[in-house]
Amino acid sequence: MCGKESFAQEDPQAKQQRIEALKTGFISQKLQLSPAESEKFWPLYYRYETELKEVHKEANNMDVIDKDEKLLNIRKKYKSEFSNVLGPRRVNSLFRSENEFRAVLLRHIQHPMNIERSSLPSARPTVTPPINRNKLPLRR
Amino acid sequence: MKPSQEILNELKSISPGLIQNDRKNVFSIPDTYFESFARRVLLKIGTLKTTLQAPQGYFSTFSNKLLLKIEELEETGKGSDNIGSLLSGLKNKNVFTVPDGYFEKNKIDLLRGKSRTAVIRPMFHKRGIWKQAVAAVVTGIISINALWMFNQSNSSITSISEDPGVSSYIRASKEYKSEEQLNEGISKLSNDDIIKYLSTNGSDADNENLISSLGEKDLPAQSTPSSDESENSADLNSTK
Repeated sequence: MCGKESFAQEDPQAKQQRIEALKTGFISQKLQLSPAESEKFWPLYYRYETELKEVHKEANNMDVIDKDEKLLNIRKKYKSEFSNVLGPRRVNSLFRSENEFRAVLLRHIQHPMNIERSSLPSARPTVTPPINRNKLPLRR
Repeated sequence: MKPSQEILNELKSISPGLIQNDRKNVFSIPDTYFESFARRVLLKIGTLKTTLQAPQGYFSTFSNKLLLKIEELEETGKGSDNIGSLLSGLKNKNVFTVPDGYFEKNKIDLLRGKSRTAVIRPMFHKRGIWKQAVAAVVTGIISINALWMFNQSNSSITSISEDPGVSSYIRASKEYKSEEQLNEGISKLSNDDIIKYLSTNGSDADNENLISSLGEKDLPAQSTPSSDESENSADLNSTK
């Protein structure tokens, strides 16, 4: 709990960066990158994330479908580049692991003190706890 | 081998008697001639007598006799008399003479360049040097370009890797190496931070699919089934 309290004192940007770092670690475990692959992959992923964030920044003045389409186009654009580094099979793992990381976060909202090992990269969850939909980031 | 008819005709015209003879070897030796040939030759050599003979003990005293003869000639002076009269008249005079100042004049000519000039042979032909120089320049240009391109590609990677954003990604990928570390990191996150993160990452379609896959049936029904965006925004704001 002491750690959580010290976390709470961080500024919002630092908190978001910490979640980004967690996602990076999550993806890294999923993809099992070699040091050489990491050197090539993370700069590419950084560019990819930067472009996605740009779309999210403009999202307030954007149609929902347009936003989703732009995000999808960025993913498609980077898919081939990721494939050059990771190979086609691990590219799927990359995009899947992004969704899985969000699922882990969602489950943590529901059961904050109960992060099960099964929810982390080694296995998928078998039992899904209920989620309060009103608290989740649905379409705005 | 059968001789041709032309040769036979020609031989017939030259010697009609010869052509009547059969083609056979007319020279013959006894059957065991060469078996005893070597022995007979050696016996023949042994029976030869040399016609030139030296007195007994001649060569054993020859050197002494020769030396004594030379000394005798030197003492009597008769040795020089036996040489041709022209040579003995010359005694020790130098018979070869040159005109006065001959060598001084030639020295001057040499300095004036009248003598034959030495031919200087270059170690490398000029054309060969030019070819080598051009090849070296081309090789140098190619090498420099290759090095420059290599450095460019490396520097672009390095410059990207040195970006604070990228370096934080790489650092984070090394920081969370185990599930325990990820668990610990996630357990420290607050709901507000997570919701804010989810709302600014991933598409709305992704989030909806995610919620569906996590068991939408378990979710409590919304109070008003409306897609009013202001309501959802209010929900989000209430969590902050």
